[in-house]
Amino acid sequence: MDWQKPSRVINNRCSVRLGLTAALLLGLSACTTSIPIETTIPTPLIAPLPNRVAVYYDPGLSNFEHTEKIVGGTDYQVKLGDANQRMFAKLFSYMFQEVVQVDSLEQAFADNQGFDAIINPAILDLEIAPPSKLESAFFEAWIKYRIDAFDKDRKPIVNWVVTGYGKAEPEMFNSSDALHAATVTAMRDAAANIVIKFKRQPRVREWIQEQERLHAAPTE
Amino acid sequence: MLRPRNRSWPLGRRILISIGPLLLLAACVDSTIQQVKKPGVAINDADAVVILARRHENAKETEAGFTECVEHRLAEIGGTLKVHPRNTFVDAMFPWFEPGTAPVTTDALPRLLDNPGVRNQIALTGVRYVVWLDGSTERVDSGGTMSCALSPAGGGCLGFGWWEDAADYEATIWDLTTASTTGMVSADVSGTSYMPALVIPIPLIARTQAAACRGLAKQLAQFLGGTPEEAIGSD
Repeated sequence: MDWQKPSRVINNRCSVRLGLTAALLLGLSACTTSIPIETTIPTPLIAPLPNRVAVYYDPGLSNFEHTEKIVGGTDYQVKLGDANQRMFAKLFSYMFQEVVQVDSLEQAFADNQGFDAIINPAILDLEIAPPSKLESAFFEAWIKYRIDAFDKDRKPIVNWVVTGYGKAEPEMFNSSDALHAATVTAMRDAAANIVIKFKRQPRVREWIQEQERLHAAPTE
Repeated sequence: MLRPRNRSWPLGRRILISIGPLLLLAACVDSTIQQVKKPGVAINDADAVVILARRHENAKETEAGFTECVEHRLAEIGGTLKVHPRNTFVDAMFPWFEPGTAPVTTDALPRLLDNPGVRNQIALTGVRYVVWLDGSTERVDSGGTMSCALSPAGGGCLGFGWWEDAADYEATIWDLTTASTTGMVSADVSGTSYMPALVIPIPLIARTQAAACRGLAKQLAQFLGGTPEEAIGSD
């Protein structure tokens, strides 16, 4: 029976080699590039609305991640972390005279702290696309947010979906930087849209006019 | 009897020596720089210029490297002309000069300047002229064949490849104080690059985009009057 030993050893070695090769191939095919997003949105150059608002940040804003599966290529995992929440916090602090962060919508409605509005921002989606010969030579990113606003009587003021688009030139051997740049540009684009277009939403304009009338009316 | 040694050079070297100078001459660029200027454009020591790129949601767009090149080149040759860093300007003016919100025509400028704080912020940056860059460099044609081989005895390539790039850029100059277009500078540059390969590929690259950058920056410096024409010199 001793003569069978070498054969077993060879078979074991073959198995190990096959296993390593398979693991390597699997590892290559399932390769994922992780991209943490760090950005600071500049200070917006706008006049704030003279209102006191409560903001309830959707939990998804504080730790958002998106994985884009690329067929036959590297998958990309974009980690936005709390970048969205920091962005909204900065924008709202310049868009309104006073902003108070609350832990829930119910708290904002129940506390009766004299909020003119309660705002609830959320992230809906992030899509990214690497360069493609047929479509675009750039890394591209699309980001979609939803901003719900209610008056103090819980009546909806606006349910607004706002998007941002960004693209960046690919860099040789460094797709992470280009994808980071595209995502940051998309966030900045959305931020610019929020700052400029929030006040232009028809229902928001009506609410602003209503607030102006209320604040102008003499108190009894 | 020993045969007399052939003193002639190998065929590859002879070909290379024959066509080399021709190729060096041929790997050049052909530039056309034009400008249209509104009379009465003058810049004083306090005025600055900022170079921005137009963004489009399609494949063709001014390359970030080109914008950077024009900005650096203009700062180098512009003499007294102050070139404001574009990222600092865009951040300072947020959200009014973002790709999706920047004014597309000068007609939109008065409304933009009426927004609270915008006029003051522009005054703080010192920027009077905004130069909008538009255009790109594209590969318009290519040809030739080349094959490479590797063996235990060595390796090498044989063949000939070429490609032609066209760099078409346009710079539109806005005067923020008058909310009007003061002029336009364009650069149309084409260049053909060659790569003969006799064992080793020898790239003879026509630096089309770099030539467009130099041409455009030089013309902008003259346009904005930062430096007398003779002081800029040739490339």
